[in-house]
Order: sequence, then structure tokens, then C-alpha cells
Amino acid sequence: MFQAFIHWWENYPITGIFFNFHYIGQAFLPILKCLPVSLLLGVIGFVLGIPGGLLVSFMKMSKVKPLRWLMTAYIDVVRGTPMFLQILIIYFGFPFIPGYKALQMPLKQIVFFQIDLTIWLRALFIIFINTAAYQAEIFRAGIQSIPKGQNEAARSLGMGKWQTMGFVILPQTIRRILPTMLSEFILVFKDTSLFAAVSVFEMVMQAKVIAAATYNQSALIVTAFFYLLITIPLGRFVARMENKLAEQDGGDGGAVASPRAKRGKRPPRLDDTVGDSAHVVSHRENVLNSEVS
Amino acid sequence: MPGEYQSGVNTELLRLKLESHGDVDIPDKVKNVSAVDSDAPLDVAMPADAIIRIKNLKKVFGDNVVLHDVNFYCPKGHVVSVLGPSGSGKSTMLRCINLLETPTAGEIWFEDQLVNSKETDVDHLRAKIGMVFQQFNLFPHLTALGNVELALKKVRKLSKEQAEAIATEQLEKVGLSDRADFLPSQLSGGQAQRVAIARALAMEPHVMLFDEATSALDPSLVRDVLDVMRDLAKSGMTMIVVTHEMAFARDVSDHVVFMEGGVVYEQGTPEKIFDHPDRERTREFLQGMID
Ligand SMILES: Nc1ncnc2c1ncn2[C@@H]1O[C@H](COP(=O)(O)OP(=O)(O)OP(=O)(O)O)[C@@H](O)[C@H]1O
Ligand SMILES: [Mg+2]
Repeated sequence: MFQAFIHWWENYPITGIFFNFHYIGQAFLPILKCLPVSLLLGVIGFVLGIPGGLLVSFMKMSKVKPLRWLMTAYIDVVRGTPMFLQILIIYFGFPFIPGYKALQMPLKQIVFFQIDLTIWLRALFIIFINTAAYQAEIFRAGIQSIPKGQNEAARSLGMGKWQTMGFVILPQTIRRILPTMLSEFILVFKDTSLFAAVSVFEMVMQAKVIAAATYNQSALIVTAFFYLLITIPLGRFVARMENKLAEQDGGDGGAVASPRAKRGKRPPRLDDTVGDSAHVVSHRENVLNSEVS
Repeated sequence: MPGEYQSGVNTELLRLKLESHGDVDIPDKVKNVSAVDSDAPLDVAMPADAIIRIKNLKKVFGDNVVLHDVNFYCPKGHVVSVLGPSGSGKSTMLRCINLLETPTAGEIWFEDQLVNSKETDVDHLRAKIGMVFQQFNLFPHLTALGNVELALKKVRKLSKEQAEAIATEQLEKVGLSDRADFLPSQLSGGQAQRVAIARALAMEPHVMLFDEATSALDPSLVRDVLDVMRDLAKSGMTMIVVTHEMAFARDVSDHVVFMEGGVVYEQGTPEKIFDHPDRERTREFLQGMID
């Protein structure tokens, strides 16, 4: 009876090809070994993006017009082009940077998780460029949501512009943007999968290779499981934090909306960040398609 | 004390200034000023030792002339109350004193320093001028004590211990030592405003500016704040108080400035302004406040 069920399960097309116990077991460890790559790309890229985004937001709010224009252009370009394209352009453009060739050999000797430093640096640089633009908009929205009176009170006590920013405005901003920033991290983490396009061995790349070698797609489902393992708890945490902020601030003055949330002013919630992987999925289709053709 | 203002000439000269200053566009309602000798000198005589002196202050937002020509002064240790209808420019005038707004023209003197000069060290100036806002503007992420301490540490560069000692003492003075560890969201409006006053006082300002400090409060909480302000006045603090609290203005002030349409429409001792104002609009305004 049980044997018969297993037999049916493994031969029926959908369960057999995507949820095959045998191949799931086989793919589990190799993909788990790539989880640190996806996580490290996401975490390090995102953390680097924090000071970057803050700096960009300051420059975008600066009184110096050319600086403002430059940052507006940068943010428009990053937000107006697919990350997939940004990865292709920068990843393959990197070797043309003067001096890169000389550094390449020594850097290639340094390897973490079977990925050499030239790849790590290129990938992290791309994530940094991308997330810094989005984070800049989060910081700007957050800073501008602090009532003007806060600035005036601090300045009228004799505090300088930067003291006021550091001790009065930013501490309040951080509280407000924390949920949005975590949502941004979830997006960045999911977008690391796009690096499969340039053969960086993160989880999706590993899964594709296994799938191709075994003629079975179950490795992709294993990968989805590992993503969800991170994104669902984080997403729930974000939702809880937003509710708490909304309660404390009684409606207005709550969390800052994500610059990635295109659907109205509502801040992104769990279903936006975890469920709304539409753009990620479509990119991933591109990845697969490009590989097929 | 109040007599200094009554030297006779001052208010007359100020009024004169309104009419004879050609380039100032005086609103119609202000124009019916009683005739004065037009040959009198234009310069307003202000005692040089007055801690705040405002001369021909003009402030324009875009093409909206908010302050036409404001003139008054405040000697050390005095309380000047500023009255006037909404939109007459009281807040704007007050905010010009510590450069939260940049004057368009005219002069503001603080002690022996021209405030609206390019050489002014703005932060240094503001550290000596305390300001209390209608909306309190406490820092919501810091406790009452933290609010008072912050500028002591960051501006006066005091040590943690010194700052805490001063902050504790200031909170005690406004009757809130038992609220030191409360966040602003846990304080009533009256308590929050008293913390804001303590925060300003901790900097040992030479003058305190109050912009409708009690207007955002429940009527039942106004008294506590006014009591603190009264005590402060008694202690000899120099204060410029924009207020709608007529009883306070009358009892506590040495001098009352009535603003209307961006000018000082009438000024004088509280007795004069409240009991026999010279001009029609002043009377109407005060009548309206009593009703
Ligand atoms: N930053 C600004 N930009 C443009 N106009 C301003 C600005 N601040 C004030 N005003 C205008 O200046 C005029 C005077 O405002 P102000 O706040 O000084 O009046 P006020 O006497 O304090 O009134 P209230 O009693 O309502 O506080 C108003 O018409 C206001 O719209
Ligand atoms: Mg006002």
C-alpha cells in the first residue's frame, strides 16, 4: 500500500518532477551549503548599503544643487532599471575598470564558500549600488517625516546641524524606518538569486545545476524552502513591528512606506514582501530562459 | 522699571516711524495713526543696555510681507508680553530673534551683538536664548531627564554627571523631579511643557522666548505652566512672552506690545494698554479677548 503510493507519487508528473523525495533528499545538503552564500550576499550587501544610503539621502536633501541632481539621477537609474540588467552590466563591466586585471590574480586566490573574492566583490558592489538607492529613499522619507519642531527645538538649544541630525532626528527616524528597512532586506536577500545569471553559486544556481544533472526539478523546491525559512519569520516580525508602531503613534507618524511598494502609500506588509515575489519570479524565469536558449 | 518705557518719547517715536517710512506698505487698517510731528528724528532711542533691541524689523515670505516694521526693546530682567490677533506676525517676530527665521531687513540686537549679521555664530547665539514652543517639541525618544541633559552634554560639553546634576535640579524647579525617567508620551501636556521650560533653562539663557506656551494645553493644565513662568519672572529672568493669557500679561509684564498687521500697533505699560489704550484696534482686540 505505502509502496504503491510512493510509486504513484514519484511517477505522477508534478509530484514526481518537483516534489520527488529521492531528489529532495539528494539536493538538500548541497543547497544548504549554498545558503550561507545567499545570506552573506544579502546581509553584507544590505549592511554596506546603510551608510551608503544615508549618505545618498543627505546628498539628495543637500542645498548644493548639482549634488542633488546627481543623486536624483543615480536613484532614478537604479530604480528604473531591472536589477537583473544591473547585474549583467556591472558584473561584466567590472573587468574593464583600469587596474582590475592586476588585482585579479591575487584576489582569485582568496576563496570563501568556493567563491573567489573577485566574484564576491563584484556581487557585493552590485547589491550595494542597488540597495543604497532604495535605502536612500527610505532614509529620506523617514527623516522628512520627523516634525519640523524637533529640528527647531534642538537648534534653538544651540545644537549644530549635525548634532541635531545625529542625536535628535536620526534616532527617531530609525525607529520609524526599521520595518521598512527589514522589508528591504528581505527583498535584497531574495534578489541575490538573480546572481545565478552570472553563475555565482548561490542557492538558485546550485539548484539549477542539480536540476539539470538529474533531469528533476525538486532541487528548486528545496531552494524555495530555504528562502521561506528566512523570509516568513522575518516578514512576520516586520508585520508585528509595524502594528506596534501604528499603535504607539495612533495612525499617522507610523512606519515609512517602502520606495519599492508601488501600490499606493500603504507600507509593505508580509504579503508584499514574501508573497509579492512577482518581480523576483519573473526575473528567475528570465534566468531559466536565458539558460535554455 | 516700567517707567523706562514711559520716558514719553519712545512710543510716540515708534508710532511716527510707521507713517514716515515711505517704503513700508502699511495696511489700511493701521494707517489711521494720530498725527505726529513729521520732523522728529526717525531713529528710535533705545537704551543701549537693553538685552534685546528690535529696530525696523521687516520679514517677507515670498511676496507676503509678514513683518512691516517692528520696533521695541526689552531691558534685562524685564518681562515683555506680546499680544495680537492671529496672523499678526508675533511668532515670526519671536523666531527672528534666535534666527529660526532670517530677518529681511532691520536690526535685532542681543546684548551688544547684532543678531542678523553674517558674522553671528548662530549656535552660540541660540545657546544663550531659550525658546519654548506652543507644541512643546520634546524629543520623544528621550526621557524628561534626557531631554534636559542633551544640550548640556552636546552644547555645553558637560560631563555625564554634571549634566545629570543640572538637569535634575531644573526638573525639580519646575516640580517634576518624580517624572525624570518618564518619556514625553507618558507626560501630560502641562508636564511636557514644564520639561520643555526646564530644558531651555538648563542652558542658563540670558533671555527666554515663549511662543504661546499654554495655547496647546487643556485649560486645567494651563495654571501649572503659568505658575512656573511667574516664578521665573520673579527670579529676574528676562522674558519675551507671546501669549493670549491676558491676566498673565497684565500681572507679570513690565511692558506690553500689541502687534497688528505686521507692526507694533501700540505698546506701553500693562496699565496703559489694558486700562486706557490710545488706539481703536487695541481696544477692540482686548474687548474681544475678554468676551
Ligand atoms: N514659513 C512661512 N512661510 C510663509 N508664510 C509664513 C511662514 N510663517 C508664517 N507665515 C505667515 O506669516 C503670517 C504671520 O504668521 P505668525 O505665525 O507670525 O502669526 P502669529 O501672530 O504668531 O499668529 P498666531 O496667533 O496664529 O500664532 C501668517 O499669515 C503666516 O501665514
Ligand atoms: Mg504664533
